[in-house]
Amino acid sequence: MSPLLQQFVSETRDLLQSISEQLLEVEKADDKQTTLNELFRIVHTLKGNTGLFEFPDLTRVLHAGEDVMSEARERPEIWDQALTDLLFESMDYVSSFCDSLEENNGEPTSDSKAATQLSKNLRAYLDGNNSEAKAEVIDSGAATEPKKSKKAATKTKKATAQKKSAGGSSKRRPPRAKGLPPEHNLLKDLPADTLIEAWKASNPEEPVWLVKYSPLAECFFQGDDPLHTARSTPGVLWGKVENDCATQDINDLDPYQCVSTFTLLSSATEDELHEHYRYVAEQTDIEELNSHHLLLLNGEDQNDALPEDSVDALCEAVEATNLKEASSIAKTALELLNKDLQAAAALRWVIAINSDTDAQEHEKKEALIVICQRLRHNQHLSGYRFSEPEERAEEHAPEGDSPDEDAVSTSDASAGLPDTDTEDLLDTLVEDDREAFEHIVRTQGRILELDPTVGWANGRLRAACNVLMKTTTSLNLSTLIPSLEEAISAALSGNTEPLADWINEVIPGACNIALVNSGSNASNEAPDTRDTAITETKADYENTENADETTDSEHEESIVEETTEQDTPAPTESPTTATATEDKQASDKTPAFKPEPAVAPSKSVKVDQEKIDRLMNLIGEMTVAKNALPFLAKRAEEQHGLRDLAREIKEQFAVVNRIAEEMQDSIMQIRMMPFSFISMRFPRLVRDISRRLNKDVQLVIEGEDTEADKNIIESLAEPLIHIVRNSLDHGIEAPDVRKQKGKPATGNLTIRASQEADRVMIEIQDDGKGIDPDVIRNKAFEKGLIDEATRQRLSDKEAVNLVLMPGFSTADEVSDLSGRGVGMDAVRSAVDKVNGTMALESQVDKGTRIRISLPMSIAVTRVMIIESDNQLMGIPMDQVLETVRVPRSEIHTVKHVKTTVLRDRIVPLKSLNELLELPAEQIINEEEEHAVLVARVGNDVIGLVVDDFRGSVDIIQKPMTGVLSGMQAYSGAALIGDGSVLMVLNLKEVL
Amino acid sequence: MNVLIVDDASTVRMYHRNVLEAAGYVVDEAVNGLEALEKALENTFDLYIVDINMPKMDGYEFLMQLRSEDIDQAPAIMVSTEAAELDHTKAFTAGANLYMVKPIKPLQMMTYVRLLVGEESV
Amino acid sequence: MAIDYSEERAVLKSLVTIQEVDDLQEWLIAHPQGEIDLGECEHMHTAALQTLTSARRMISAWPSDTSFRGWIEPLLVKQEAQ
Repeated sequence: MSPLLQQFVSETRDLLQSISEQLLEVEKADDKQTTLNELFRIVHTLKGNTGLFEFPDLTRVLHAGEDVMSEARERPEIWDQALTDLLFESMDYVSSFCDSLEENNGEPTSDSKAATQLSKNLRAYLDGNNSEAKAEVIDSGAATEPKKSKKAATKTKKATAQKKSAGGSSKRRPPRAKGLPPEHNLLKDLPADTLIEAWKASNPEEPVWLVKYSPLAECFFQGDDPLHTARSTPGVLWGKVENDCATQDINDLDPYQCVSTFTLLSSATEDELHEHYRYVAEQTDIEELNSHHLLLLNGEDQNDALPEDSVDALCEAVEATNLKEASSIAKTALELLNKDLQAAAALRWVIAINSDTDAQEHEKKEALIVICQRLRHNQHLSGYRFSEPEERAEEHAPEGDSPDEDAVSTSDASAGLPDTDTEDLLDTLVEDDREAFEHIVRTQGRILELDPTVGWANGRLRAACNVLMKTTTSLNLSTLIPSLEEAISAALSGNTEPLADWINEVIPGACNIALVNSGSNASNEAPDTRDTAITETKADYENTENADETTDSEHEESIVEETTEQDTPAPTESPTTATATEDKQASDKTPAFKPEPAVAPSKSVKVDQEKIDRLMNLIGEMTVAKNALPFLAKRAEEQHGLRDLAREIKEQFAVVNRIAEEMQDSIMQIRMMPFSFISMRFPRLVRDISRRLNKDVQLVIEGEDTEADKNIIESLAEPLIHIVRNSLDHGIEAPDVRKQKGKPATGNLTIRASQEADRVMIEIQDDGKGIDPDVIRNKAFEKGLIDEATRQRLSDKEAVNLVLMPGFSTADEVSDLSGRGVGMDAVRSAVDKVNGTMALESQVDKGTRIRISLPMSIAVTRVMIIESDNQLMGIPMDQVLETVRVPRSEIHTVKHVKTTVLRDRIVPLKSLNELLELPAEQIINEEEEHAVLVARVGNDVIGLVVDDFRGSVDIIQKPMTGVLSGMQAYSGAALIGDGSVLMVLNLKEVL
Repeated sequence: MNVLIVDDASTVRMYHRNVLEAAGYVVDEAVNGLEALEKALENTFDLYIVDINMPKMDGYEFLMQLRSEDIDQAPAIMVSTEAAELDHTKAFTAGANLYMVKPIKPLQMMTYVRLLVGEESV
Repeated sequence: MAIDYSEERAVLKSLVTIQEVDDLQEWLIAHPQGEIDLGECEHMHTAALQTLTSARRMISAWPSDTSFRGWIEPLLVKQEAQ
């Protein structure tokens, strides 16, 4: 994955967590507005991020989410629990999308159908029609678990991106002001008639779709016939098959490998297409076609096919909106032409467009302009200056210009045509630069038109001047510079007219400040203007300036304060204000705004887990290596008689030892994570489960700051979830049952983390029905876990702890939530794995409390290395009581169990080889003695017969991964000094 | 040439940073308008690339402060996922010099940035 | 069987399934000059189309269904010329 994608995934996870928190907040909050605003902002950010990548499914879901949040800000009353659920579900989708991104190295697997469904359900809220969303059966399984096996999703590219701007308009998308819509490679083979037919079939409500279907090579074996699938596409207008079989010898051809791809045009709806291609969604690309994409002149190229005067006449007729005339010119010219030529295609377009009865006149004109421009381009004629249609597209990223600006060029006669010199000058620029330059200049012209009475207008003007100067300089348009300098200097002295003139010189009609001036004279009146959008906003700002009335948002209120506070001069004031501020360090620069205390830039660094693991490994090796020093000292002294050297080595060892220990501590600290890392999942979990069970539960989490090693915290997640589920499922009663028992209807569940010395204590307490010790006793007895004597003997407290025994599960019936045969014993073994202990206390009808005690860090474990059957294994030192040599003669067999007597105590002996099912006998030394390691396992003491002892060593134990993780006999593995791997025995499991 | 990227989305910041740094610009980042203002007070930037929606202080507010206090009148591009006309006008009113719709294609961004900072960057 | 084979040509009729592709390929290899008649063909499996594309044969008759012809013609016609 690229770093950008990694960043994306990591940020998405953070944002999802915030969304989750806010969603829970919305349900509780009395004042929803703040939460809803925040939610909108986060979802908006998230959606914005997805735009950087090609993840159409993801964007679709988030876009819908954003729209719903935006609606909810306006109308909080649409919020209901179902919407919370739906949003949770959507975020789950996003989350699993991220998982798949990570798993598949940046190639997400995604369920388009689920995405479509989610987005549909979300959008149902936009019509104020929640019932529809609720009625839709949400296949949450499909939504939350994208198919792992399949690759990339159906991609739906939107050629027309902005729903908002398109909304309400029944017009075809107008062409860009500059240049022509890009030609689509895939459409180049289309017969002209097909294009015309497709164009007629398309309109903004019912666009035409371009489907690209690349079936899998092995699809024939799954019974697919892609050609059939493609041909039977709903609403298919045209299609083609491509493959490179022609380059292959028929003798070598494997016809059972599908190597064909399919491209087609369809007039069906997007939903119909997704439905049709649902089984092969990941092999399908569905793209919406802008109707102007279809306006192509396909055919043979011949550049002098049409006389220039015919083309001019055609263009003039179109410009004059005399469509009949255009059509008749086209018909006449077409008779003289070879029908296969591109020029002929253009003429057929003209005729076809004019005869389209569905299209409105201006739509026809827009299309005709595109055709005419293409025709001129095609015939190598110079461009024809069409006046721009009234409607302007806003879809091209930076070109979201005002819809009016080009209309001005025709309506405002005074601006006149551009100076030919300027035009020529601009012609020297690279096309991209020219486009950018014109766009920038035009935009500054627009900025100049804005209300000059706001407090920051002077700064705004200066910024615009800077932009004009810099842009012009950067393109070396030196002839424009002197006039610009003059104009700027005038503007900064209060007269913006020369600057407006300069702009109009470059882009005719781009700046009309006349209305601004009149507007500023009558400051409280909305200026007479041709642009409603500007008027409204202007009025907005003016209102806020007058602002005794309530304003819509805090944001605008703060503007008011600023402007009234400081009484900034309008640009008509002296030029000194403008020039005096060049120096950024100038002392008068201290702003009037009062920044809140600085948000200290976060000092934390995100580090890859792997890097920390590497550090851990290194310090582990270091620990092992340093441990060799005492031996070295011993050898120096005993074998070489170098007592002084030995002493020095020991001193050095002490130093190295201390540093190593501190280093290890520091690394451990890095790995510390707060309990909140897992506890933050609980609010949602509890909410979901209790709703499903119709129980009313209040969750309290305490001690979220408590820290422990990452491994410990992570290993705690699963067991805790299980315990919480158990509490909700079997512990806390339904509200009516609780009332009968005289308890409050709302149950309490408390999860408390705290630190006690070097251990972390986790306590989960509920006030549910508790565990009945008699039930447990009987059940354990029935299951053969205890015998009759034990059943009698066990105290109540001991009895309830029986649920922690392997194979015990109290659920009478397997419930959906917990149960499933994995009971508390699974929790217990997970806790055991990290050297934790757990205990359970319960009182009938009072509740249950589970206490888990865990080491704070995995730290270094000291293990005794033993040898058995030529293998080295480690046993944690804290289990080892002693190592002894037991003569064979002192081993007795009592009731088939080998025993020996140590310190007046009978110790049962077990052969390690036997326990591990190794076929070898344990080796005896020359004195006929067995090596016996006496260990404490739980409350029992046993003697483990091994081949030999190899001393003890500090290791950093790592849990087993991969296939090895299933091997219960070992609790982990560690690297030892010589680079070999030492397996650490899990005695509890082995015995 | 110094560019300040003001955006609360770290992914977007990284994206812009990648593009700009590849072209040799020196890039600084701020996560909201407030932090951006503080940076603008301390340093000189040749260009601001500003998001609209941010916590603590949004892009409009930031630009208005930037312009009204004469903190800096360097060019500013406002970037947003919204293409609605009203947002453009608001952006220009607040003090932006250009409005671009996210995501911005690298080449396009390079062209505009080069023109706005007024120098060949390479 | 939806394909009638003769020495000169293979006549594909109605629906040609993937089961017929082996025979088709065999015939095409054995008859390097054999022509293809698609006049009565309504559909052929993608595998059959790929086989025909690879064989690069003269198409003596195109499918009467013009839409079907539109799908396959560019592939088969192009090859004819080669």
